[in-house]
Amino acid sequence: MRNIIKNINIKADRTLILSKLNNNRAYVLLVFIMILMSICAPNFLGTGNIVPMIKTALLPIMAGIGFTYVMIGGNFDLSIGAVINVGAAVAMGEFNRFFAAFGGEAAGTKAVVLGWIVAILIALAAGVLVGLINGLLVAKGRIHSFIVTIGMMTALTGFVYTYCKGNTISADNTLFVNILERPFIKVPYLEVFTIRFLVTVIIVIFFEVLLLKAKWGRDLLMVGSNEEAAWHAGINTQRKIIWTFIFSGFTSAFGGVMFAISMNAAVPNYGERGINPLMIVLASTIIGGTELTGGRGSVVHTTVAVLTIQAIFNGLIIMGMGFDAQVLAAGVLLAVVVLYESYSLYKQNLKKGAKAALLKEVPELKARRKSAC
Amino acid sequence: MSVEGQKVDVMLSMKGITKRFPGTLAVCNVDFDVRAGEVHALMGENGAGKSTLMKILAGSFNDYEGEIFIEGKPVKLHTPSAAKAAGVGMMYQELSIAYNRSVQENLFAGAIPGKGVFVDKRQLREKAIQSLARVKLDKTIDPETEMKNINQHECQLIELAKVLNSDPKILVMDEPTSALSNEEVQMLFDIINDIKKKGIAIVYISHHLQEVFQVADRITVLRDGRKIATRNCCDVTKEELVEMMVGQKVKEFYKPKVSHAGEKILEVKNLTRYGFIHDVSFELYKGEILGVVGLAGSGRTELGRCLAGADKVDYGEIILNNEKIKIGNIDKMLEKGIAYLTENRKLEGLALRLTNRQNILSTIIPRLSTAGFYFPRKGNSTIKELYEELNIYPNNPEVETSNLSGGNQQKVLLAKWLITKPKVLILDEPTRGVDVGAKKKIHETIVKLAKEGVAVLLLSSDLPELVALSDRVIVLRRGHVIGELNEELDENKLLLAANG
Repeated sequence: MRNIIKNINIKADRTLILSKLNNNRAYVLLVFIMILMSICAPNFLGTGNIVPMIKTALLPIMAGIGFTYVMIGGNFDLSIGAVINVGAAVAMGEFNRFFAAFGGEAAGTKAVVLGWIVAILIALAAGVLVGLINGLLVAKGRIHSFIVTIGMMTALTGFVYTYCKGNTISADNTLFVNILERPFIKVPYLEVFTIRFLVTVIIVIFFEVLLLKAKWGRDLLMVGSNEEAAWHAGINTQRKIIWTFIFSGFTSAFGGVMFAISMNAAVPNYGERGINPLMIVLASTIIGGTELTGGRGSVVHTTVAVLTIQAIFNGLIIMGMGFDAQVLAAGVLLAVVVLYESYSLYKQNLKKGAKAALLKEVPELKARRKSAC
Repeated sequence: MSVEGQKVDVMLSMKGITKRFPGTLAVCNVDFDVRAGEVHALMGENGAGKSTLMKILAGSFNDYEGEIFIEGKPVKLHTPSAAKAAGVGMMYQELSIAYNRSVQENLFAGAIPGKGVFVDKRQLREKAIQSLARVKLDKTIDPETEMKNINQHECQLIELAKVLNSDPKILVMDEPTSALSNEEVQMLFDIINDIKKKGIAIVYISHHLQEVFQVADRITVLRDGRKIATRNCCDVTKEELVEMMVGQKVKEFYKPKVSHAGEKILEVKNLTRYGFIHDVSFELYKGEILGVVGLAGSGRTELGRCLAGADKVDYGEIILNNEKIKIGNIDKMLEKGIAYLTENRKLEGLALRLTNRQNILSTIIPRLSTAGFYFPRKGNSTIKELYEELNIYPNNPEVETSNLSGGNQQKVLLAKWLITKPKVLILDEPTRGVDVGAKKKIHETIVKLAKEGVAVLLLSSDLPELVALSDRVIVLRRGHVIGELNEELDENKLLLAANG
């Protein structure tokens, strides 16, 4: 009974519902797109589509974690696409080098395991280093993050081409490649559970908890919302900003590493042809409700938004549409979300400061005006 | 500073404090002390060094000279966290609020209670309610409300609660009343009295003489970075204080007024913006200064904004020179001769990174343009006149506006609207946060304008200003015009009318 009364009260407040919906719009949009696509695209909900769809989303999900953090801090990290390539190329290249150094095929599994451990650590360290440099330049150097990270993107692209010598790098041993991508159980839908999937989920959960449940995250949200206030409150704002960039470098590089291993290939120009992961991540972060100016956001919401965009892409492919239609659809969704944001902001500002007591008089005023006319 | 036979507990003592900025000596060899449980007012014109002295106390600089003692122990306040740890709590003039976070997160920014690394939500809420109780807001505000949904004066009290959370020994309040109505000021003073009783030393910076006499125990006056004197509040008169601040004998603060009202120029009928002002009607005559009195939230600023075309009007008529005009945007209203000097010079009034010339000419760019090309030189002579008229310092229009003191910035803001040669000039808080000298100059200019036939609508929360300048005053209360006062204006009358 109490619940019913509560519900009626909520129903009375339309704006409250709307704002709740908007705060969880990532879920709303995902459900909407899933329903739409399952109607329009045959076999959209089949395991043959859902499993590959989620697997494709794993890379932008990883990069989206760090990107969301950076945006919550009030900055942008446009270098994530390049960091993904660095992570991928360095992991593959260093594996081949250390695999040989540890004895190659002759040494058996031991060389494979040691080789991957060292290679992955180096690749992740590279991502962290890139993030640290970005963070230092933005926080300490006071250079706009757009400039810093675009510069970083260009430099890293050059680095990867040099590192790969323009070629695709594949691992000389494919043992681990198979393990990372092997499903635990071969049952429809549950095939999605692979080591790579689980690692991604764990990292998403870790960063979501850090952001929303831990004191560290609350402080970061405060920094993003009002840096000055956070500074006066004794929060080390520069360090917080640097950490967001380090996390971004780390998650992007990690995503790149896992992507390369699962494909058994690292190319220097992934994302230059086709859809750039940066574009997907940027759109997802905004669609997921992270505020452009910082101070509000959620890693899980970004993840859900990545899945939404991936669902659009896959649905359109099933319907026989090409790359052009995919980009257009993602762009339209982003535009709708941004337009809604600005519209609600406009609405909010219009009423900002209005006195409740005076608003009660408005119907009477309107009635009086009508009778006068 | 110990008085004979009396044990005086000096909480803060600053000795020989000096701070240089490139090219200027902001604070020079200043001694300043505050006792536990006293309110010590720090006064001076803009640029006298009050804010710099307090910034040193807040740990904003690591290169000041001199010594600081808190409870007799020497401390080095080189970072904000060091100052905080030493027991200094700052309540800032410009509010430092994170608007898209909740009240409780703002209250405990940087010190969120937790279990291990996690946030303890329950404790956070309980502590927030306790904290709000200290500023008497626990009954009215839910700690989970987002800051953007909170009224401005409540924001200020929340800011105070936030500072009190860190249990400061010394509390610095920089112009805490600048955004408050009289009612709210009294509320704040009650809270200050409570805080005093707990033995906290309070430094109170304000331009309002009356407030200072009401709340302070001692007063220290700074001028040009130097300390002029420290006096007990009861041993000093307003006139002496003003003299110490300005440095010259001010015989008459306000000019006696003569009404210059001529023919009717503006008639406003039933101006309404839903939720802000309802059915506001009045008339304005050439050469008249019409004051508008009302507490914060009475719709004073909103009235100005609606007349100037800055906000949407739901209905109503504006008749200018016997001609009904369409209520349009700001530029359309400006073309018709209605200029509006905005309330907040830093947010809405001036582009601080531009030069004074660029700021002043920004309102008349179409007038200085021929065939789409802008010729700013055409404005040179007018700018020169305005500079002489308003006595803007430094006397160079090429200086970046951010380098000017608050008073001179306000003069530049006034110049920016005067240059449009308005028929009706709406002034919203023309002297808020401005030093005594600049205030006097601005008042003289307003009177002179009226003499020349400009109709002035004066929206102000400064009652002495309204009394001194206005020919008539209309009273706004909760969005309605509730009356008009035109004879023997005095502050009490105005205050009573506005409070109702």
